[in-house]
Amino acid sequence: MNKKIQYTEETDLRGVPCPANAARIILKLESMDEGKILKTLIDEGEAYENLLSSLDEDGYELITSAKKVGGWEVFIKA
Amino acid sequence: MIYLDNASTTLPDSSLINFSRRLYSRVFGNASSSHRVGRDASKEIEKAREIIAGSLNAHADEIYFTSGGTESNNIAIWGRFLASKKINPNIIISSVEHPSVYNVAQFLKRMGVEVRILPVDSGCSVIVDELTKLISSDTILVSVMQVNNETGIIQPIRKIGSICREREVPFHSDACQGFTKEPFDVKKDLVDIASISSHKIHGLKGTAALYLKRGVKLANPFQGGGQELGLRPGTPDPIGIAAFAFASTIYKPEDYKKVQNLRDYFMNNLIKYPAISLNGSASNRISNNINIRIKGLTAADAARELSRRGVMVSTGSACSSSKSEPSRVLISMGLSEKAALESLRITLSVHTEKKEIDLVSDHIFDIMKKLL
Repeated sequence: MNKKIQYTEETDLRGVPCPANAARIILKLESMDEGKILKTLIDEGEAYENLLSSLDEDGYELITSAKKVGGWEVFIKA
Repeated sequence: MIYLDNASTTLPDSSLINFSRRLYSRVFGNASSSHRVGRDASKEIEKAREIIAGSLNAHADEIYFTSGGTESNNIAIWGRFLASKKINPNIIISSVEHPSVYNVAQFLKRMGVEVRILPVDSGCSVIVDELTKLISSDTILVSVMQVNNETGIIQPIRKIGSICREREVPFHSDACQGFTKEPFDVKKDLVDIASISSHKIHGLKGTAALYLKRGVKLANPFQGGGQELGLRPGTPDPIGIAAFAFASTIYKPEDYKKVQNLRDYFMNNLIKYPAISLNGSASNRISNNINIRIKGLTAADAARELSRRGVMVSTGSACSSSKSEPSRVLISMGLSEKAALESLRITLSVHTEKKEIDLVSDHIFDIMKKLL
């Protein structure tokens, strides 16, 4: 399903500690045109949970996410 | 927004912002320059040195400005190591030191220094009697913090200082958490080296100091232009330093009585719930700290939900990657991993109001109802 999502930007933030990982994603989203899609990879566990919370607090739409080996693949609308 | 993470950092005081703003328009020189602009910068730094020295009951020439508590702690430990002529040196630190002490010690261990760990009891107080067993003629430094950054427990530094003086071993204390909040007098407390920081006391980030008693030897871990007598070379920030001195005069331990009353009210309100327990002893704790465990609720979940509601608190764990690591401090007090991961640190400031505390209590109880 994720293969069909057309994204314009991509980041890999696995290994980046909280909250810098979420902060970088938010900064990336702020730099993108509204409606464009960001694909990001982030560590599982607290990093992923904190990202969901940050997106919610900052009003960004999570399109979909899927658990992958070594983390989560997340698609977010800017 | 209700900010209750004041052990992490504090909001710069409005009077300090005004003070700094006035300086920005006239002080920009390099304090090493011999012209008037340089002298103006140097004057601000020397004035600040006098003020900071006064706040510790030290001499001005015993104060060295640095960029942070971490740098001060590093200079203290590396400086003693580099100055030591012992063949088999050892250093003694408590098990609950800040990473800027603990991790430096672990690094030195890889370089052949024996690291002796002073344990704490279940209340987070250092077991002083153990020090007499650990200290030896090869001990180059004892480092025990004045106040623990996670639990807020005030350590028996005067007793430790007394043992160190008797054995003629320099005693370093990381006083970043307690400075201006708890009485701290380097002479009475028998401290030879101390670290203090500006942003913990409503000052600016990027400025701190190291107190080094006259006659105690540290080798310079950095090489450079010789500023701060070589201990911390590099162009100093006259405004940050002046602001640090200014911040040290705004609030005194007496001002934290009000904070303590509010903290006690808050703490008693929380711990009446059976699922909530206090980590560390209830007494002997810095005036602004509460460290609680909410049984069955991870601190990460609680902190995240509080953040959504506009309340900022801290977890003791570090979200480094996929797995939360429990706090080393809480584990060394005897808490289980699970209990440590369920522990939250809430730290008040002089600006915290009762209505905020009441609202946060309500939020915590509501979160417990929903998530437990």
